Amino acid sequence: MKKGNLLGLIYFIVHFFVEVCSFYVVTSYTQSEYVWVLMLIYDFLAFVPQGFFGFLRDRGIKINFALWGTVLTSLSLVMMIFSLNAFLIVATVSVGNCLVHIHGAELTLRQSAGKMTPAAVFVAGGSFGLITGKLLCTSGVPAAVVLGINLLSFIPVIIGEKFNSGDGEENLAKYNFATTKLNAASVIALAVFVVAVRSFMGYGIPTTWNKTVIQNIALYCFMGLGKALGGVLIDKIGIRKTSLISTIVALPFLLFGADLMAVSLIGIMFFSMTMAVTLALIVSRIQSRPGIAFGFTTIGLFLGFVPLFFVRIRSVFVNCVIITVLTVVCVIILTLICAKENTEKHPGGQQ
Amino acid sequence: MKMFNIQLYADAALPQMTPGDVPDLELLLLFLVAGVICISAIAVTIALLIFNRKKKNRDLCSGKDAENINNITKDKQGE
Repeated sequence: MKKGNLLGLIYFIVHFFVEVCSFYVVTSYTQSEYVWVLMLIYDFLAFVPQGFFGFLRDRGIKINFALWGTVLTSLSLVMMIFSLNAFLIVATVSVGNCLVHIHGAELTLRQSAGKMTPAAVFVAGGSFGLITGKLLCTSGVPAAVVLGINLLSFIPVIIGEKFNSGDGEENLAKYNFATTKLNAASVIALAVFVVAVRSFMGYGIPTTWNKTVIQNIALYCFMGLGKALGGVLIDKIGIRKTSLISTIVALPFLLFGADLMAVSLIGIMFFSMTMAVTLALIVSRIQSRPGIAFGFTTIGLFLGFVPLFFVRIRSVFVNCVIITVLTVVCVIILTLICAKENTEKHPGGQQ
Repeated sequence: MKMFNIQLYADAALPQMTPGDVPDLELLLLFLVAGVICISAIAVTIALLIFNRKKKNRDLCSGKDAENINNITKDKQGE
């Protein structure tokens, strides 16, 4: 197995564990009167600072953020066992989550020779982890057991570091998925806009079929599969075709799958593939800065879902109209910024 | 567990209720502060990117590079 793919798999496991811990902690406070603030703190600290830590990694700081992130997530569980302050626990777990994310993304991008599969596989691990964490909490599993599970994460983190050799600059120069006809700032801004739009749309997808635990598990498993499949398809059939599948092809499945689980799951799988597309676009225009590139995507995610803390559209029909309009906007933007057949050359890059 | 959603796509935690349901202006203030921090983070990141790019351009246009180009030109003329 290639080094990049192996790292993708290792960090898939790390990502799984960190989300198990994070969503176990978050779900534990859903009955708190401060649930709204706690969620906002969690989302803000887990998503927004990733660009900053990514910047530090890009500048060559050799701190193993995944290791420290796992220490923090474990610490949050210890604090839970001792019933310490909820705000402190949520803040600790979210910073730990943030550190693990940025380390995994930066490492998988840097050690893969212009391929998106490893980074996409790493990202996919989260979907499986968050539903597991939520279920562990709702099933009443004690925090000490989850702490034991979370400590297992140190094994793949340490193994992963063995594969971290060199600065990977030659690998990064092979990411050429974005057009060179537009300047880097425009491509990044448009890609972040697409991330934000997709993040916002996530709330409106009609899933009235989702009523049982098994259906809920299926939903998140297909979302994870879609995220991984996005990277695989970019490498196999190109970024343009993948972006069209994840937007325009996904649309009818999303709209007409409200009551049909199988149809909806296919739509959600295609929809989730955009995650790999936008990351590929951003990293292609700032090739030597994979940490900041991933940070841009997480800021886009945060900007997309934060309005939902204040405003919710409850009507299924209105949500379907919004999804359709926003999908058309995304298709136009992605067509503009995706390189044709991965052949466009970059001024600073090598083919 | 009706107080909590997981946002599809983003893997984020969302409360079931919005401030419309929870009448607390302090929450709105908190959001504004978070928003300012968020925008500042984006601005700093963009500023750093622009600074790095300008620095790179400055290095490329420095006298050292120009000297090398002159030497290459002279060598070629010599041939």
